[in-house]
Amino acid sequence: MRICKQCGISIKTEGSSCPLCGQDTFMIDATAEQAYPIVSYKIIKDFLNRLFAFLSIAIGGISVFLNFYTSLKAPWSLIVIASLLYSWSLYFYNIKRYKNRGQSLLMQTIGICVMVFIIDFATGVSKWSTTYVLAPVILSSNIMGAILVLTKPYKIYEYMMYEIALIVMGAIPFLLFILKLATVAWIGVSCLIGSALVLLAIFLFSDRDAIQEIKRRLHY
Amino acid sequence: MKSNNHHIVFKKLDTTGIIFPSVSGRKNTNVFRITAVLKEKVTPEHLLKALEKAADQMPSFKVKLKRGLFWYYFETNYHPLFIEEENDFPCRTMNKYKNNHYLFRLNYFGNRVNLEVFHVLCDGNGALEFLKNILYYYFIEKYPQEVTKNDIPPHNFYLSSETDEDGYPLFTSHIQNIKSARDEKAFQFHLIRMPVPKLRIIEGDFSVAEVLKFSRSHQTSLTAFFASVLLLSIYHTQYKYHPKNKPIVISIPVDMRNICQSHTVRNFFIAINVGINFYQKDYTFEEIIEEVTKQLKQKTQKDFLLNKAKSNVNIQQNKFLTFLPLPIKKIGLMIAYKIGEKGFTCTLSNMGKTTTAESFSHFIEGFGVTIGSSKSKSIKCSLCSYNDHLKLSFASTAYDREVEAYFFRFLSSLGISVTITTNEV
Repeated sequence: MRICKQCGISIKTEGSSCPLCGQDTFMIDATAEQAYPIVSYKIIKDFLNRLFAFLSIAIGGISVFLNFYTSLKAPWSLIVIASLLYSWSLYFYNIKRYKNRGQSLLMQTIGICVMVFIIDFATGVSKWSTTYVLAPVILSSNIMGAILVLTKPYKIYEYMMYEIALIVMGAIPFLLFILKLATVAWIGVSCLIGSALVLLAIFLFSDRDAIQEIKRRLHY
Repeated sequence: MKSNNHHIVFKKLDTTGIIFPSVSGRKNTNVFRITAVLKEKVTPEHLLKALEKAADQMPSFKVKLKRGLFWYYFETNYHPLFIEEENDFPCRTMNKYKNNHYLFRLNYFGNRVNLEVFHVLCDGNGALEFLKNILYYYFIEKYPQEVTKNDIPPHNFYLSSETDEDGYPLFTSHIQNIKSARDEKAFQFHLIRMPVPKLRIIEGDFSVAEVLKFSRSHQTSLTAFFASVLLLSIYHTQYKYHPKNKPIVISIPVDMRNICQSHTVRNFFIAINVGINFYQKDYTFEEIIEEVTKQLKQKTQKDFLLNKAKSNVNIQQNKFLTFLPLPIKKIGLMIAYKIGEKGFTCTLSNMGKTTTAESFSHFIEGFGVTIGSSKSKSIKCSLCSYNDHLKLSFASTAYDREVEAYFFRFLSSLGISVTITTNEV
């Protein structure tokens, strides 16, 4: 036990200075208590994150500058930015913060869809992305998600909501056709039917627990 | 690990609990710690067994937090429980992957048992109930001859809806809707924060009798007495150097269990604000005590508290808000929380007098409580007493320790003996 004459307090903890004023203290007896562990603090510097951020900003910035400086008729820098954004989603959801395959699959699908849409926009809006790319990408993700849900039933709780989100996304290509943002109907319709079949398969092949899980997730 | 044989129990979050998952993170952990200081070193093997038994006894703690489309919810957690020797800063954020998805962690150091709980699960009194049960099983394991069995409530008690109820809607259903007045903006600390997750603890030990003598001489309660000293400390160390026409406001959580005769172990408290604007007038310590006592008396009236609770319930039960998807709701909750935080300067939480069953009370030296850091509230203060031991703890993320220093020096100048323990950050 020590005392600090300046603060007028006793100090139980080991050490030579007062925790309040920093002045030297006086020992009154040899008893001392270590109530907390001594924790060494390390500043975590994630080099890979910083390198990736630097390269993304540098490449994106230079692309936009060159695009503006040369000609704005073809906004090709958008393709670079879309690719960089997709790389970030790939990095964060699949490499850096890998947690859940269902989440990775959903984020990959959204990432690819957004990227191809921007590329389409940057190359003259010929609607090839909304007509020919979105539907196959979403449908194949749906099938992969269903396989994931049905082959790993013990993980059904983790994948279920992501798979449902993918099934809902299955309606997007058909909606785009109705809104005249896609040109071929049968591709969108195929995706819609495919997604509906995936939903049916999940309901028929999964057990009651899965239905309960959906109910819990949708509670209000 | 989870298998299909496990029965999953689903439970909604309570009215206060719904806000915490949306606003918590590394900088604002919303984790608090209840510490039991034993008279001898902790034996880990007995503590783990005790934890397992206590968690079986109180299943509302054996849950994990899950995300739904509209709200977060609890689900039974079948992952193994574990304890560890304390090796990090107190009240760190609850990382579900490192913590087997549990919303509390139990660690020990020397003769201290620390229960750290994410506020979504329960408030201080709920956590204290859990810690007391852990200690009961710990001493039963360690000293089976000395501890009287059945010295805690039976298993069925904690399975009943009485201990698992959401008190807010239950006790405010008869109250008419009134529009709650928005708190005016309070003075905020001007402090430089230490890097996350550093948290400095300065714990003061007092004699309850000695402090009570002073509070009684001023005809006030312990809470009002310490709140007044805290107001004075903030005024002299912070406000004087950054004067603004804003009051220094102390947020004081009030336990609603006694007021409503509830036995819930979930969140059931209402935070009230007491404050003084030093811009208009220089207050003496006696005047501060008088003003704080008056405000506390007025704001701890049952009607005032239930009206405040009702406004929280109304927000949760709003049909429009209910059907907003969770990510959008989270943004709204974060904004509401930030606005709410601007209404007070500092928190002072008094857990009150703690008691344990007589058969094992002689193994325990005292209890303490620490509230974790927050991004905007660099200093938080909490206290609780056990027999004649009163522990008052400052948790701070700031480099500066002037507020704490003034607080303890002032008490010492009154003739109250102060003994300090710190984690030396």
